[in-house]
Amino acid sequence: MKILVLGLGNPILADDGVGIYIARELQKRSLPKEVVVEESSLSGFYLMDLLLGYDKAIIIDSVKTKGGKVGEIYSFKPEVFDRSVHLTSVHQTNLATAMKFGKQMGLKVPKEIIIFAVEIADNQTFSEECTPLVQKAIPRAVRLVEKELLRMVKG
Amino acid sequence: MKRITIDPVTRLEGHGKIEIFLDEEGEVANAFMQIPEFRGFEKFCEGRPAEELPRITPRICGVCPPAHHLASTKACDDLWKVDPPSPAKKLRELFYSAYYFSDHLLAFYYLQGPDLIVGPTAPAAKRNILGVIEKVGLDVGKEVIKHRAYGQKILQMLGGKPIHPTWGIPGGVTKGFTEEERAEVEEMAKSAVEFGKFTLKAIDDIVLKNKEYVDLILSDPYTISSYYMGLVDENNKVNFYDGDIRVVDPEGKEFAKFKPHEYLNYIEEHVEPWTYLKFPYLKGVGWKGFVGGKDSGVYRVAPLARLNAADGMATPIAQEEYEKFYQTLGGKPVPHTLATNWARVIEMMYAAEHLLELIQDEEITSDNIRIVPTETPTEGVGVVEACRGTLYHHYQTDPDGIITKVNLIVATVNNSAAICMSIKKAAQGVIKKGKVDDGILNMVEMAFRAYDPCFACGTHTLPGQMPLEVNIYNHHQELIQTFKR
Repeated sequence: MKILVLGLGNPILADDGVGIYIARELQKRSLPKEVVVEESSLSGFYLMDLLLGYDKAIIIDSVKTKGGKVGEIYSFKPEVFDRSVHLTSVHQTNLATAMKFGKQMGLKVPKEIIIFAVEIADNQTFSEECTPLVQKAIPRAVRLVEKELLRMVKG
Repeated sequence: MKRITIDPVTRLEGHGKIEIFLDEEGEVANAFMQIPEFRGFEKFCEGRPAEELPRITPRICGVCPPAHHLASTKACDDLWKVDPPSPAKKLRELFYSAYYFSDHLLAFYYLQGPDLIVGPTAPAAKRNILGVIEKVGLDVGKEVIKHRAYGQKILQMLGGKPIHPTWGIPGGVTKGFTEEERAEVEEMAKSAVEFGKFTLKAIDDIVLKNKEYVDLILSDPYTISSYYMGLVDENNKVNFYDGDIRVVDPEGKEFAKFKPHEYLNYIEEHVEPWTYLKFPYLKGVGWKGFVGGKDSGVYRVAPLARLNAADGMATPIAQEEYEKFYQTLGGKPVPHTLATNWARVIEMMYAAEHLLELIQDEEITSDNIRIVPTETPTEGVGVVEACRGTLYHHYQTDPDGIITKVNLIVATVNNSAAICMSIKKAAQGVIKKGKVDDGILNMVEMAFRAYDPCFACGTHTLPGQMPLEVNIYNHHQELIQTFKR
């Protein structure tokens, strides 16, 4: 079994890089041998390229929700974004569409994907640091991902 | 952990927002576009070594990193006044052709394909890549995937990382091709040329043989008059990587031709109170507002503009198609925004042909790929054609090469005035008596999408696509309808 942990974000746009920072922390830990940790600033179809060939995947990203509490960590499946499975995006597509497309084309996409997302405050300022509450969420997210990985390896 | 319903905020201030204002009769009086502006990039760069910028600036955008990478590398060449050896230039151009091929292919099949192939007013649920594949068949889908992967593979072979390259350095590049890699890329390039031909035929069958669609391209709502800008080689043929910047007027006559470092003599930026977005215009003509014509300094960039600003394509199949393009669409220049999609495929053909030419060039496996700079840096400008238009990087440094000032004009920003004008014109053409629905709105968005705009892609935050909101206001400026994507 091959499991991908993918930290997403833009490391020069403040909190947007949180997924990447969490992945970098995970890289320092001792993880099950099935696990590969990567980081990327891509979305949509480019993401699909990275996921191909893995049995399971964990994606770590940032999110802004209405009334969300900064630093809160959510976990969900890509199907949550199903309602936007159409290409109205002016530029790219979202993960759910990309995965559906991959399945339609008979590509080897992961059977299980879990997304962890950290509620963020600022993704519009050029900076290589997270804001304090988001920074504090990083160790918590690392523990949550490790726990999920153990479950995935067993399952 | 709390269980919640994910409702990503799509209403960040100014985030991909189109505002349409109706008059008393419900006709469109005005339309604007607002997009987010990221803060402080200049400050972020100050104090860093200039040679780091080719690795930092590609992070501005998750879609066109190779364009920023090469514009930045060229600005560094110019900073240190070093002219890279010929094999290094050819490698950079090859890298860039692979990027163009891959990106234009994605834009055509995945982004414009739904409108072209599934139909502009098809239900939203079908107007996507899944719908495209249903229509063209799985085999074509597989070819699309295969060829996109080829482009990515070539970028990775040279650039190190597939998307955020670490390859270009002042005076050259860090890695060339071995003969084994060359042979592999040659096979991919041959296949790319065939796929380019296939795509041109698809345009012919699906779009040009469909009178309704050709009429749509030629129709008034999708037509604006403007100047056109693009890089050209010494024969005035389209070039993506290098050359002079040429501008032609709305009648197709050359208005200006200048070197990258002269850009500030030709371009100025207009500021509006309602947005942080700047509106570049031609200094010699002046800003006359969001209007077209010869007296207004509004210009366009990107595929349609590049074809209009040049005298042709530098490779045979693309040149043949270039001629057909102007014969079919009523001569030069073509002012019809939706023709951009066809222009994009002509460029994709050129990229494939040029890729093959370059990989068969005897210098391409040379190891003479860098000249070490010896000059003291002061100021440098690098310009390339990003897929979405002319991209300017301008740096100033202290004598140690530490950045003191950065100015960027990113591709889509050149088009910002024209995009606003195109949205307004399309909205005026399709919204009648205040009636707006999803299909009508898509017709407005098509004008916007043709530019393949690239404003908000610097952030990655979920849901991973640029949110778009369209607000419709009545003549009392009261919000009466909102559409969210």
